[in-house]
Amino acid sequence: MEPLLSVAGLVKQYVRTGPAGGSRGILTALDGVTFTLAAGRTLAVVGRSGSGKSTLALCIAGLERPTAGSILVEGRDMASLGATELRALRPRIQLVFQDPAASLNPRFTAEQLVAEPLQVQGRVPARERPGRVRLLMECVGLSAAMRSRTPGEFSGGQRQRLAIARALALEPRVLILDEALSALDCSVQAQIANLVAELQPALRLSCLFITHDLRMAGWLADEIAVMERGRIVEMGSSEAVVESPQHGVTQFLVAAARARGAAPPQAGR
Amino acid sequence: MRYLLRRALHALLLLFGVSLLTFMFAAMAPGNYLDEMRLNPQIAPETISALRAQYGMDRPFPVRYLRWLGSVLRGEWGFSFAYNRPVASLLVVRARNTLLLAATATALAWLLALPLGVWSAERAGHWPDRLVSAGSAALLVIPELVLALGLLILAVRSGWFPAGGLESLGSGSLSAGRKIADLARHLTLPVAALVLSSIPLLIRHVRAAVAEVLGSGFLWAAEAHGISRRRLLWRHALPAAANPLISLFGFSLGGLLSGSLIVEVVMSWPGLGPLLLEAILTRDLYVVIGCVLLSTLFLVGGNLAADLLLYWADPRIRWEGPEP
Amino acid sequence: MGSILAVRDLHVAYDSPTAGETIALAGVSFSVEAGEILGILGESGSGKSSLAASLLCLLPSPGRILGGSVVFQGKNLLALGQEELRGIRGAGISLIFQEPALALHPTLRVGRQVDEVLRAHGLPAAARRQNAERVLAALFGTEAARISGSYPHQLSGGQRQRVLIAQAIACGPSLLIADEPTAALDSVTGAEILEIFARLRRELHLALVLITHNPALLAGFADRVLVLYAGQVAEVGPAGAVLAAPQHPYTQALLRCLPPVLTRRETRKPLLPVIPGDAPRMIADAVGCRFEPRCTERMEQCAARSPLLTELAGAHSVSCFKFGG
Repeated sequence: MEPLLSVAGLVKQYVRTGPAGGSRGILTALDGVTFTLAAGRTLAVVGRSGSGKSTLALCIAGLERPTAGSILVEGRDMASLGATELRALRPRIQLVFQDPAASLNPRFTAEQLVAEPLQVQGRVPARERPGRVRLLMECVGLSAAMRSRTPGEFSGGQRQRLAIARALALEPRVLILDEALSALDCSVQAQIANLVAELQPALRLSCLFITHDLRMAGWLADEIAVMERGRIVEMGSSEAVVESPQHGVTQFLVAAARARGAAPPQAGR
Repeated sequence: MRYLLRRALHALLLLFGVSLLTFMFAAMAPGNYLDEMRLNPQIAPETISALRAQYGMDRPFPVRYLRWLGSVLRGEWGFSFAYNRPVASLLVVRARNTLLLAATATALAWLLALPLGVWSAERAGHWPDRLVSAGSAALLVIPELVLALGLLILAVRSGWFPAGGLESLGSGSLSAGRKIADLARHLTLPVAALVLSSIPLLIRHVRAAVAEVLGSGFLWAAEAHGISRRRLLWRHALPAAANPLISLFGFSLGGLLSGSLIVEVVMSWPGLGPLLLEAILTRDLYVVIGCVLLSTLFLVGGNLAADLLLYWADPRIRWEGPEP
Repeated sequence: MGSILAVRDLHVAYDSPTAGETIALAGVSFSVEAGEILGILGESGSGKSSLAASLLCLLPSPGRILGGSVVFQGKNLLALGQEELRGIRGAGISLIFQEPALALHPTLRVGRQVDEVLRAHGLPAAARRQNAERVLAALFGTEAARISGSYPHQLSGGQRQRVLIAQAIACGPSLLIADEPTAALDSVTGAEILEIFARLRRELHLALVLITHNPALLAGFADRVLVLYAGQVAEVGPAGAVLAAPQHPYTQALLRCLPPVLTRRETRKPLLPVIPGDAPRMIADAVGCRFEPRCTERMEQCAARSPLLTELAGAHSVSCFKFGG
């Protein structure tokens, strides 16, 4: 069966500019990333800051254009699509960010936030939207009574639930969680992780879970890909990666997850 | 360096465009310098025609513009009909006087606005803040013209200050020290008028910029390191709040030549303001264009200075692109 | 070894126009010994940030310290004048702020920011330069010169955190309070920062209070752990005892929430055991144990009054009616 998401040789470079517009060097965020994600599975992308994980998320979600390489969603190459086709494809892949306070407009109510994607895509008629919003909010564990609150009145965990409800509004096939749990308290992380684990089979979602927390990755994901300096240095099933890590970075991440006291790997290895 | 060259090129194009537009508008405006003379029955029409030919007023517009451009490049900036001399020589003297007034007023206004604004921001919501707010609101409401007239009345009634002008009669024979004192007395009221009318806006901006920075994490962290409140305000908060203020300062610089027109006219300060007004009323074409062009030059220069200052003051602006 | 910091019965409240008075800390007491690492484990709503700020009398204005004492080197900090407090901040007790990106001045170079701390405590220019170089070299090694001339936005998260540490130790304090020092960092960089703290404790005999919501950070790192819940001490004791054999129902539930390090998984993913309900919101006249609404082992008396801290074996204390109180 064809994989839902197929990334091959993905490269993303940023040109750093000075004030006069001249180039001050090239930053290679992704240096040839290749992997596939099958329907209904969860892939965790683990790595340190600067390894390129967030850039990967942005490219797959269509928020950044890759410099080279291909991203195939349900067999179609994103780069070859025109503007309208790309717009039609966007609902398929949705992104939940790390900081819900920054990604949710503080002036909108919860209802407006969740209804906005429905409004923009225009596929759901106006009179059906409130019902849909209520359904979505209950799906993520928020009571419909909260729909007129603004994000500032929610706790961190509730805001993240709201962000997930909003992401689910367009019935995506792929949900990308970009460090979505990292800013939450441990007990709340568990709640949101449970939510994702429950929603996945129920909504037939595939999940791309970007994180630096190997413990959570191991628990939530079927497969783990370890990134370092824009490349995937190790990939395999969660059990294999955690039990017998091959690469130095993976070994350190696993050791850090198991106990204290391991020395950090040298930069550049 | 390339950046500066690009800005210089832009500036040149802008000046060119402004000069063209001004020339067009001024030339298209009905009437010309000689209209007054035409009304005078003692002057023969032939004289007027001769003058017209001499001043080149009968030539077509593009020719006149090009001749004027040539004059600018030669350093004369055209010819004033009223004063019978090249415009440049007029402008130099008047611009110097305006700059003296405007620069003093701007410097004084900023020197007063900074402490008042910082003080208000620190005591936001308490009586110092309310006092300064009320005071500046009151000043903001009073038109510049009224302020200038009011000060003039004060001068005339009290006799403490001269009622206008740059220097007293016979000041040429005074010693250097006395001359400066005389100049200072003449400067006081016009500067006061300008400062009073411009300071409310400055105080508000300083207060807003500093108040926004006061809640920042780095100030709190610095206080946790034991840094004194005063040092925090002046050496940490104010520099962090500087960006909008630097832009504002650039506007102040840019408006140096043009912002004091009303005060100059009311207080008979021999600057560019009265010159421009007179030239407009008498259709002294090239003087009008010269004044406008000079003001534009300053505006552009002020903007450029602000951008350069900003670039120097805020290291974050020097780097574009993602972080390492 | 005497304790260098003794906090007794600290009460802190916030006044808000909408919610009235909320209690952030309701009678917190603990002590810190010289050279020890005390981990304060608290989630959102536990009052941990108020705790860090109140120790140095730096509560932002809607907050008030209602009562209690914070005794450092024989003096009650809550009763000191501004000048004396200023002298202690940074030089006796240093606070490392939570977000490194926000805690550094955006337009001053790093070297200058370290210098500012030294200047605030009255060192002359030559001594300042020496101290700054020494402290930056200790944290950045050979890169110290380059870092010193950089601006904060040019540094990575880990580097910024090191700068904060440099500022904190520049004047040689005896106690460091670090509020979530690794929350904004990835796990590898976080481990490096903890390694730095351990080294500082060894070399400078610094005491460290590490405030965090992540129990995994404290395992193998802290000497003692204090669990803060809803402004009160739930449990306190040696790290090994509290983290491996927690007694308070909240601590037990919290530690169960962490995903196990995966070994083998044959069946479908089980769900993580979670603590039901939400974080507590503290109103002024709450009675009873704060954890009672979410506790799976609640008893009748739990809603009536608040339990006292009861000592179990080996300096391990719990505030729960299961053990008396």
